[in-house]
Amino acid sequence: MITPMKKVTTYFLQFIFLITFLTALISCDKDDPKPKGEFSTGVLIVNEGSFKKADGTIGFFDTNSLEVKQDIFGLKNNGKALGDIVQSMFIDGDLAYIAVNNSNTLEVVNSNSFVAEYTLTDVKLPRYFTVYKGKGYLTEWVSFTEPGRVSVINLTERKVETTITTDFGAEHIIEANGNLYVSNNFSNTISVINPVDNKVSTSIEVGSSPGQFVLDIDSKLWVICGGDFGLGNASLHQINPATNEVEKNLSLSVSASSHLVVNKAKDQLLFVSGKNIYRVSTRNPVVPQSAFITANDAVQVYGIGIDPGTDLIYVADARGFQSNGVIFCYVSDGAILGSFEAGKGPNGFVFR
Amino acid sequence: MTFLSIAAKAQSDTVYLKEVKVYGLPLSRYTPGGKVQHISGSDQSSTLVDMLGTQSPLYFKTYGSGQLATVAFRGTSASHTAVLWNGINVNSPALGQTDFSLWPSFLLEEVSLQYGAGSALYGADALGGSVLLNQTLPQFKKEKKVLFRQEAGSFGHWLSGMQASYGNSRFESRTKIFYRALENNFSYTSPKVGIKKIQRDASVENYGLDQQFHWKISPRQIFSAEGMYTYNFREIQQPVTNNDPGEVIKDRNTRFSLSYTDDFRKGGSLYVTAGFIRNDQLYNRNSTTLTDQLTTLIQYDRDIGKRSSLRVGGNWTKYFAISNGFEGRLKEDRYDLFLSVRHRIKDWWLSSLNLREALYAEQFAPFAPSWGNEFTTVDTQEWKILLKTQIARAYRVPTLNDRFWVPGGNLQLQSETGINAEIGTAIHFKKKNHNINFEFNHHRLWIDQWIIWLPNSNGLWTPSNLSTVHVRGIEANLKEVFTGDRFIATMSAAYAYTLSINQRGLNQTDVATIGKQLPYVPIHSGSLFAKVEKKLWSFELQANYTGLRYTTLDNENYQALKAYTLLGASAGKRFVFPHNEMSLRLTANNLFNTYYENIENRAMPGRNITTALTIKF
Repeated sequence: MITPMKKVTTYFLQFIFLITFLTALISCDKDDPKPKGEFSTGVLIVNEGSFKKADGTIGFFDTNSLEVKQDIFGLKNNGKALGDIVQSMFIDGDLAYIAVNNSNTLEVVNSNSFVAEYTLTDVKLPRYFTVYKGKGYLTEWVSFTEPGRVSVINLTERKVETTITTDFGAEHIIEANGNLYVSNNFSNTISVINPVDNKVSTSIEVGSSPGQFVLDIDSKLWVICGGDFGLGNASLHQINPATNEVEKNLSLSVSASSHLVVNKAKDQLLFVSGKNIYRVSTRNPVVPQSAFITANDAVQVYGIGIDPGTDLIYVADARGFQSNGVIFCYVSDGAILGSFEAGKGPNGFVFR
Repeated sequence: MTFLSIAAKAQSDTVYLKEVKVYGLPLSRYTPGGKVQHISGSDQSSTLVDMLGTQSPLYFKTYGSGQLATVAFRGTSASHTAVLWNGINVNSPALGQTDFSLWPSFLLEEVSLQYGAGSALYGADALGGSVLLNQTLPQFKKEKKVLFRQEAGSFGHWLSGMQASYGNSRFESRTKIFYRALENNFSYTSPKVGIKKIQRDASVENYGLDQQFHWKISPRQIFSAEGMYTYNFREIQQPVTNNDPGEVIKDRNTRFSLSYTDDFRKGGSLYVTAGFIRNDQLYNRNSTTLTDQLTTLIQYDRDIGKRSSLRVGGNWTKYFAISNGFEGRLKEDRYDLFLSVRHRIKDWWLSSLNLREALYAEQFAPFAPSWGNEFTTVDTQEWKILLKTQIARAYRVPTLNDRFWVPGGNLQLQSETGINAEIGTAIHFKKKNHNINFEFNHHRLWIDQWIIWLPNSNGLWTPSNLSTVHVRGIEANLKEVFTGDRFIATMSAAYAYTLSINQRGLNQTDVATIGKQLPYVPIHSGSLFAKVEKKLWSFELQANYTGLRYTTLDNENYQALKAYTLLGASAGKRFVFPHNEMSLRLTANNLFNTYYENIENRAMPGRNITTALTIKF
């Protein structure tokens, strides 16, 4: 086992070297700006941790040195913990916003140094965050028996300005065509929020359990719906943000996780079902008949990301939460490149 | 009770020699070669977690003071310890384990530990060891006794209890009733938070009742009935990072047993018991797990000549279970047959062979034999040196959750099996006023078919017989009792070394978890204890050390829980009056105010004090 993995790591090394070399060539005519901080370029890994163990962390993979640093928040903040279920992270300039689901906090840190800036505590089961026109928008489940909401956060005053109730299980959030789209994971709706009046302007019906959004090359919005438990009725939907019409529906006949990512060219979508990763073209979407990648060495595919710079595919294996996770890396054609260790329960990536 | 016997009973008595006759179920008769430890009670009330945690190397995965606590006995998991109440396995059939915080010490009489694989004697789950909770032998003496206990302590600790007994030559009644509350509003400074916090929303309320009746039907026949009810309501303590209240949990446990003992004249005895156990758990006011258990056990013991004895018996248990995870009400029958033979081969060689075969859900559980030997190598006025060996096979039947949980339950699961081998010595030295015991053993346990829940290739969580774990360890105890003219001093030291090593990866390419220590098993643990009794005074000092514990199967140091040492001290005085007796005890725990955790990010209380007043009539 060790030998083939070493081999791919070596391949990985060479590959990365090539990429770095090319990037350096491209950027050599510019004044090479000094990196803003230790974590300003690389791959950040969101490790959500075990439920109620408060062992969620952010890891850092330095794509130049191939060095992995675990728990960089703890490392830079005297061993402090982010908290219980580190769900997601969003970077906006020099600040990173980390939604800690079961701790009911939004931890704001310097995105380059990872030194803590402030913590927002009046949120309930936060999930995902985005920034639009200087305002922060945080989705929150609130509870399992009440509708979810979006908290609108004044980022200069560091406080929640208003909340917008959506539907059950307010999950992912993305801005498209001047509106904010929220997937309501415990239902089958997408809430469209007009940020001018902070109201839900319309609700779009999709499949069961809508999860993550991506925007494709044609500025169309895609959402993955995981489907009902045990029914294998996941679906993909294409929404036109100009009209809020659902233009394409793809019934996938499998169950899927809530993860959806798009490649560098923004014309290929990847979604996850068990240990299989499927690929769908955005311009010619058909139900995939076979897996693009099967993560055979993984125990539990729990997250996926595509580096928009290198087009490399990162697959997070949570290992059943028995041990720390493992990240498998694939090139854009699906060939395995290598792997490295993550923290507990890796669920996603942020690329810088 | 004389001073000497109190002193001899106190603290970590591992009795190798004596065959302690516990009512109905002679414990150590068929366990030569094994290690049996009697846990002493104290005049301060707690739960089984505190009793066993301070007096044995058992590690408790406690989620806070008074919170959920499961055990790691000799490096095994929570479901590898059999817990028997009056001979009945009371592990939850749904989860296969016991929450030791739900057993209040105020209601218990005899608590003993059997180390190592004990399935041949105690049935399923006895891989790491067994915890045996029994009644003391009825006295059938004409007397009335009443005891009142009042405790108050730090962090809202409060206990009021009463024990009353009445007896005559034919009848004996024992009543115990208590109420306990714990606010748990201690302050702590966890490095994961960085600032001082006050624990909130972690209170415990607990009450319980135990009633026993014993009738001496004839000089050789005794009939006993016991009923125990405990109520426990708690707010689930949250991780240190969380500020909002968590869930609440309510446990109501009802236990009944009826037993009949007939000591025949020719060295034979019959023991029959029938029990009913109900565990009713309400999680967060909306999710109920209700399990009922009916058990009958019949056992016949007989001496054969002067050197041998024989035991044969069987039991039948019927389980009923309702849970959100089960489709309908589950029912299951289990049957056991067992046979034990003990023979003193030579004056210096005692041997016992025990066999058990169980049947569950219409299939055979793994055959469980055990063979123990005890060699008396030196036996003089002053010295007694024993050598002991034991080899045993034990098993754990997959739990109802493992097999029937929807979704994921796996009906194809096999039982886990464990092979245990151990060798040890016990040295007793007695001269004038010195009484010294030293024990040492080396044990090994190979567990196969260890059940692990993992997501399958479709992402569905399901259990499989994935793992193999090898445990090897050392246990050493030294104890001295010095009986002076004016005082009695007891000193003891204990050390346990436990390597519990995972042998198989999570999948075919996983090497990161192979050869690693299981999470929440300290490699090193130990304790020191000293006690001085002078006239009516007694003073105790206790230090417990718990080594580093990993929290993940790949043993990352940055995620490990730090080793800690807890120091406790207590002082007590008895006041003896013509018709009654009063005792007052002041106990201080965690004197260094050490911040420590037994489960990652669950704060444990710092320095705390309890006063206990006991009045006996």
